[in-house]
Amino acid sequence: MEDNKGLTGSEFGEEKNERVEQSLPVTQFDADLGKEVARDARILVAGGLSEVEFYQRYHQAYLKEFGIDGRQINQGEGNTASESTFPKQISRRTLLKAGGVALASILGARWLGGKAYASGPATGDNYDGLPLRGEDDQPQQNGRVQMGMVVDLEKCDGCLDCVYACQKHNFNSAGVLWLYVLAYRDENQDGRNFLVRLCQHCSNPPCVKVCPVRARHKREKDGLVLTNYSTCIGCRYCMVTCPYGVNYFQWSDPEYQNYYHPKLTDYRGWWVIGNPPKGVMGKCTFCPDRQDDGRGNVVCALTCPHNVLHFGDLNDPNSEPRRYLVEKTKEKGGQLSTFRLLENYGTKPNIIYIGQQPSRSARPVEGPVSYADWGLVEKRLTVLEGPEPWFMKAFGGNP
Amino acid sequence: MLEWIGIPVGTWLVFGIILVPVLGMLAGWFLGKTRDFRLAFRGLAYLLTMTVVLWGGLFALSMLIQFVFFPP
Amino acid sequence: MRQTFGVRSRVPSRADHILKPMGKPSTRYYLLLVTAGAVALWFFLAWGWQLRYGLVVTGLADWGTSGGVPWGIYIGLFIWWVGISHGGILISAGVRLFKLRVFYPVARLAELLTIGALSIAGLFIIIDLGRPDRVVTSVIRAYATTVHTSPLIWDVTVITLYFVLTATYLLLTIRHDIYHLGRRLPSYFAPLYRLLTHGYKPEEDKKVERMAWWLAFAVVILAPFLLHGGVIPWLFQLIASMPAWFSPIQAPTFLSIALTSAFGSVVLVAYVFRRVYGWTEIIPDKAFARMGSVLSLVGLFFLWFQLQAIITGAFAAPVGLRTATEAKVEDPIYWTAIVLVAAAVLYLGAQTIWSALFSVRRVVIASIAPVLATLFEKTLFIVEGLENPAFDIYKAVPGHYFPTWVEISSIFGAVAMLVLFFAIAAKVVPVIEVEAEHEE
Repeated sequence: MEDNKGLTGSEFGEEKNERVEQSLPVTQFDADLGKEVARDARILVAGGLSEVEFYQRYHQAYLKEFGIDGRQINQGEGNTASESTFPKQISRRTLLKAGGVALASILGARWLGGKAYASGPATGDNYDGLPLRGEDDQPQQNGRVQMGMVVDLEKCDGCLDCVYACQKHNFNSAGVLWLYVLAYRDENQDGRNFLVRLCQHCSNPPCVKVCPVRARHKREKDGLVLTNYSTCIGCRYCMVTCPYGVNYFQWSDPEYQNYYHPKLTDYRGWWVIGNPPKGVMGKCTFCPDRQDDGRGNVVCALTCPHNVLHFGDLNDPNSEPRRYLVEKTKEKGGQLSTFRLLENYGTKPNIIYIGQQPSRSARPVEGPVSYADWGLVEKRLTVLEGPEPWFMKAFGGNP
Repeated sequence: MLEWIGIPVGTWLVFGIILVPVLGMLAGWFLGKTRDFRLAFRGLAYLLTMTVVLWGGLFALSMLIQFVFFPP
Repeated sequence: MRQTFGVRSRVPSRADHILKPMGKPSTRYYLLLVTAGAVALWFFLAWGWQLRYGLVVTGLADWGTSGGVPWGIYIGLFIWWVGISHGGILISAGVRLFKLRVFYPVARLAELLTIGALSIAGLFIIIDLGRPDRVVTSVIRAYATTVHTSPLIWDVTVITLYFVLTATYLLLTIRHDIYHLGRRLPSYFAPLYRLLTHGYKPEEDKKVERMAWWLAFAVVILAPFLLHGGVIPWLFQLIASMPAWFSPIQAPTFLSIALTSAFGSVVLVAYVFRRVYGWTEIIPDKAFARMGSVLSLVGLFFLWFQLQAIITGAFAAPVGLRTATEAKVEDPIYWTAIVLVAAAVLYLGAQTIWSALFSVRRVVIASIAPVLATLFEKTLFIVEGLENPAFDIYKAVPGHYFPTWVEISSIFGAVAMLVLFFAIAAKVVPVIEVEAEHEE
């Protein structure tokens, strides 16, 4: 299965497979089935498998294991009377794919151990001797859960698997790159380097401060910075204030509807999940649906074949990202180069990068894999064009 | 954002600086030497009415836009 | 005391002049209404197109990987129109607080300009939103929280206050005029006049003067120092990650250019009315000369602040500010704006010193320049700031922007709406104050 864009049965590496196997909780269901379904679901989403085949492959197994194959999706509200020009059959395909992914990932999460969502009080401000570096060397939010990531840039090779997975999972329009990988060359670093840029889910988020309607907010439970698509008035001030440039406005009707329900709500009943409707702002959400149902992971981190992304509670010393930092520090003999992006702007970002921070002389270059190779648009301005009235065609189109 | 005695700087700005001229004006109307309470209340009524006219008009416009372009 | 309206008097007087616009509409007037109405209608159709298909019909895009800018000429127009609105009440305040009687003839016109321009400015905020249908409900629901942290909400608060204070000022001071013009006003608006003069007694005049004094005081503090020299520049200057914006000097810079467009547009409006109704004695030459002088002074301040910004960005600035400054000084539109203001400052300053150089027509032409320049300079400020963010490692930075037909239609549509506003207001209310001299 090497031709499926790099997804193989052992994409996590043999070593990790063994560790995960050992930590599998005892369940009443067949963990191997879940594993296989999860793996094939990702191949389905990547386009290496048809949904008919996916359905047929496991239909008998489902009936045997669960007594029912529940992969029937309610199509009623999925196809709304919006301006989507998709013919019905394409929507259904998308829904089936999505349903397959949703169900498979529930099973897959059990396989992965499902305990990346940390709970419990934050303790202390360092992990085995290495302080958790923030602007003031204090834990970002005392006593609270703060989901974040450790991104090991030294392992990143610019394959863009994560970018593609995020695009598809959220049904984002062309050029809406909530997750973005930038290749660059720098005077003080050798060769080509990568920067994985996603929303930092800051602890002092400027976007939350400036939102005039509190559509952009920081969730109490786990520190996710989210946008309430029902409240947002589309002023775009959050985009103006964000130093990192992670926001993507929905300038026209989205190309795709969210899977099987147009309004995906989180545990509070707020519409914060998936891609936003026209006239409203969106950005990386840290997959709140996967936080609320206990899976505690994010699609990009799951997809990455090189163990670059580590998602978890940065305030919990036992979380996966923090343990990764400890291990990596030990590997490097006690000296680990980490940084947070644009720290001096006081945003208190919650993405810890392992590697060298790009300097002022860094310049972007082409990566080994281009966005076009994945069928993605990199520069959204090239595809942002509204319909033109007849007289504009006479003038040769918009400038 | 900085705080002073637990109050964010924005709060100080709005209530301690921006509203001061307006409050000063109201003090002049109601407590000034040549005051006329009837007129002062008329002025206050005009202020409140124009606020309602402004935001009510805006609300009406937004409802029209919603009805035509963003039907639920 | 009931007034009857509609009975004509034979005494030629100042009142005759004031009532001239309120007579029967001429063919020229209807032509004006139709033309302005057509341009405004075109603009509303363009806006409808935008509401239907989304803001993608503009030239805007996200900054970052997308290569665009999220704010463009709509926000530039918003700032421009708020600037124009400053002329109004500042002139009235000048008259009341500082006894600058020379401006008295244009005071009411200027106050009406404030109301019209502020309304148009507010409209441009609505036009720029992605979901304008939610603006009132979403803002009001969250106001108690957002007022502590959001510069946009501070902006909304101050604009509301400025509009409400000016409208109240107008409502209070117009009662005297309507009462005294009484029977000579057109009878079809009688219900409106009765409403406006409800409870009026001539004895209230002195006390209303006092209240108007306090109003002018509140506005003179609020408008220049807290609105166009306050919350509006703060929308930009508080953002550290946009180096072109992040400087304390934005507030005085914004104020200086607002005052140029404010006085410039009062000159234009006053001139139009003077020409159309033959008001050479009502709005004397001296008023134009003085307004021209003030215009040259505020224009000079504007140029001085631009010098500060350029010299700071060009000498040994950090990369972000240096890049943004380079972009600015390499842009021909920027220099067009600067030259326009400089030329106006030169002539208007010269006519202040050597009155032989003065003529009303020249002052009017010199006033057009800074009014246009403001729009160019402010839009450029916004767009170039967003094109050159601090985090410039993206391939698609610097970004790019050019307005589309929808946005350009809004420029002319807004001017048409102001024309309609004045055309209608002039027929309904007296646009010159009734008393020849202002007693205080």
